[in-house]
Amino acid sequence: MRTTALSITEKVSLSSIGPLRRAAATAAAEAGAHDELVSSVRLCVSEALANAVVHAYAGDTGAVELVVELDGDLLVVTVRDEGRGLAGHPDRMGEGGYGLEIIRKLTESVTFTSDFGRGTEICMRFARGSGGDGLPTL
Amino acid sequence: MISETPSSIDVVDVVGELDVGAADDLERTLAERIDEGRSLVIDLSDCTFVDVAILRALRSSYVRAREADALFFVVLPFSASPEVRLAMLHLASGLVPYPVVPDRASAVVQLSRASRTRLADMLNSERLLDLRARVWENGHRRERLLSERDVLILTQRDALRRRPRRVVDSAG
Repeated sequence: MRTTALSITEKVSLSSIGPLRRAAATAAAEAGAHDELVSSVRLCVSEALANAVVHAYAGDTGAVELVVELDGDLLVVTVRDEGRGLAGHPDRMGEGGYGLEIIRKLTESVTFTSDFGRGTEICMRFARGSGGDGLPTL
Repeated sequence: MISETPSSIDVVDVVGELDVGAADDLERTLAERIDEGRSLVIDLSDCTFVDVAILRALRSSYVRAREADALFFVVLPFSASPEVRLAMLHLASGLVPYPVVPDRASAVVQLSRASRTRLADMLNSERLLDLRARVWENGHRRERLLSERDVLILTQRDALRRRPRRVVDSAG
């Protein structure tokens, strides 16, 4: 059964990324996530939100939905925008794809759903019981 | 905050959480200093978060410094924020081709010794990036152990102080 720890929908700009990143991290911590997992959530949410503001809305403001849910052993974080979409090229995220690379390294799995002109959904699943795969103890 | 040293080196303290919203400002500030002929030490001791856009801004500044024949070092303490260490040394180490040192004193020593030609391509191999990440991991572990040891010593000292003294009557 999925339970929702956080659900926010708001118009975002560059200055919204910090507060939303912190809100997601706080929700994860309050849901019992350990410190390393909270760090992973903070890094991944920041890159996903940056993608929405910089690429989906090209620097303008636009609506973003941020949801943090608990699903058994998983923490599921979804960032959804209504921007122009990645048009099948999620590797456009971040500098030379580093944003996407960070998300891939820190999550159990990630799903991109994007159609041109219809927005993008990035659904990131984190294992609640372990840190990042092969990453050092922080 | 930028503090000027007597030589041609500026130390730039990067404080707090920095993300894509601050990347352009950071790059512009550093570019101004480089264009004035300054070498830079970027101190991330009090930086608690960086994203890919900030790492990109630092890399661009490093490239600019190289082109201007200026030196560019980043200070990242072993005890730096976990997210900053993780991003710079593990997740996006390919965006960190510049020299990273654990404290300001090391940066100043290295700057005084540095040969520009040696610095030019010093961090272009995956093996070196991996080695650097492991040095920081071990440095962080060492600092954590030393701190735990200090806490233990203080706790034991406190316990000894509180222990009731036994009075020995030697008169028999």
